[in-house]
Amino acid sequence: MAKRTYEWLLPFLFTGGLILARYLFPSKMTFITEVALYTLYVMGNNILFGYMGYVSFGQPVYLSMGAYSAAIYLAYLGRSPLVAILVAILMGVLVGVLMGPVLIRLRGSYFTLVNAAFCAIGLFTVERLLIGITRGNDGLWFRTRMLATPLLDIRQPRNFFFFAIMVLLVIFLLYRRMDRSVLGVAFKATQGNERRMQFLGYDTFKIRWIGFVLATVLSTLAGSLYAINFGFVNPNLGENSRAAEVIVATLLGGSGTVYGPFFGAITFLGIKEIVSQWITRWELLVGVLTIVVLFRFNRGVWGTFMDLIHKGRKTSVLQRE
Amino acid sequence: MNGNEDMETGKTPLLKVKKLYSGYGNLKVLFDISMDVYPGEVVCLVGRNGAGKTTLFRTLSGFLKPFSGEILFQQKNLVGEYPFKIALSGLKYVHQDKQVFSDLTVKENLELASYATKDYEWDRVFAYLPKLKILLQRKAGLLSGGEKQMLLIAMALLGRPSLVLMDEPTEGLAPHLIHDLTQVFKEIRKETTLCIVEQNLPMVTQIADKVYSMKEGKIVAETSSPEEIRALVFEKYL
Repeated sequence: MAKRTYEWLLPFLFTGGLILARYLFPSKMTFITEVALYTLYVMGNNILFGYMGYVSFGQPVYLSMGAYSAAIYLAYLGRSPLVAILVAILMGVLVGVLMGPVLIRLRGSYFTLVNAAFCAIGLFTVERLLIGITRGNDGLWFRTRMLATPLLDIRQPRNFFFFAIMVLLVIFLLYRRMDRSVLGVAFKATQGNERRMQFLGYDTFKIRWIGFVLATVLSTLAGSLYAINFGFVNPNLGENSRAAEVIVATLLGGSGTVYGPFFGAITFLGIKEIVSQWITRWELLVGVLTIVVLFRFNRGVWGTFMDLIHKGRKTSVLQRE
Repeated sequence: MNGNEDMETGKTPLLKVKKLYSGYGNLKVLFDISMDVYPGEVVCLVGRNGAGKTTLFRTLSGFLKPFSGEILFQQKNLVGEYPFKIALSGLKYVHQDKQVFSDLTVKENLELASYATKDYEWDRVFAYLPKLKILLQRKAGLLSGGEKQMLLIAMALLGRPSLVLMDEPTEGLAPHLIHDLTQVFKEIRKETTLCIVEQNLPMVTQIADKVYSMKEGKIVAETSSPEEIRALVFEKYL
């Protein structure tokens, strides 16, 4: 019972930690907001990579789709940021439902590379093909068109911070529920032994499809929040050269875990924030750290931490005995 | 009497395989396989390695599409059906590799099986396999070979399948475990029909109602005479 209470507290503890950090380091509010948004993005990739075993080099395209669908809505069609977020979520569902059956048939490097190709196509589309709508590399600005949202005006960065934290908390709770549900177990079981799942009567294609849709929705949600936070979007968000970043963040935090994406986002963005002050190529340290994690701590920050806790528990039980 | 009823007994077979040819890619492995499995029977398939027994099970469970022939299960043709649909229709396959979901506990493995079939009557399964009840919290990857086999059988029994295909269930097990498993099969047959690929002939003599001998992808002999089964007459065809 105590363990259950403690587990339930974790989403509140982590989001509360971000709020505390915002007051302890007021100048870092933008960074902390980005941690919250990037966590959502990593959570999406974690479903694909950690739960289902798919390596996607195309995640930026889904982030970009979310950002652009929210931005286009706000720049041309409507003025409510909340509706824009909803539009981005619907875009995620639509893309996941339509592209999922095509992509999840592919395995291993085929899935990885076809996603990378989609990412390149997506970048070309927003940069060149739809330049009349997206304004290409100049970016699409819409901050002044956004209307105040009820209760909390998320146009203000301070208010947006709390809104992002609330969204993160809700997603944490849903993600935790998914992890403990049959669906979460089915994702991992399908990755481990798909045939065995079929012997049991599971439509594993459908399971992988659902996972793909969830991953896409989380990416487009994160993209829309990025867009609203900055008040503009440009094609940089969907650059395929950034595809490896989200995979590295997933690995650093601990893939296939509920809270790994949170620690992956903190570690990855933290290194970027701190090291980039001294070294231009901050990616160098991320590369070295990734190698160390893969060889020595392949369960990532959160996975290794949990292992240490479990080890400690076992030791104390032995000592009591 | 409908078209699928046996001319002599008047019974309708649960599984009827007619002139089945199957294999991998262009490679033909099974040739002109015809067999009947009646409700309540324990049917054993015997044969040397490479005789095509596992290929037959893979074809019956939908993992291999046959080149030609019919697989009638409960009078419905299964050819071309998805494996998960075949499993849900009541034909379960326990593979020989004894692969459980290693990272999950025994309880979680059973929950997965229950969720797929909406059958949560674990006590019914524990009546056959009582040891599983005390292993519920153990990681399935830490189970012994015999325990894994028990777990796989339990998972297959959830959903009350009409027919369970078991591929070499005693492979790699200690003699006392084989004895235990034989007793389990004797109990399970009260609930479901069993079709077992088995190389352990003494076990076959104890549980089989019918034996098919396979050699080089063909059924070379068939007997349902208890005397012949006890006398291992099919051994000479292997």
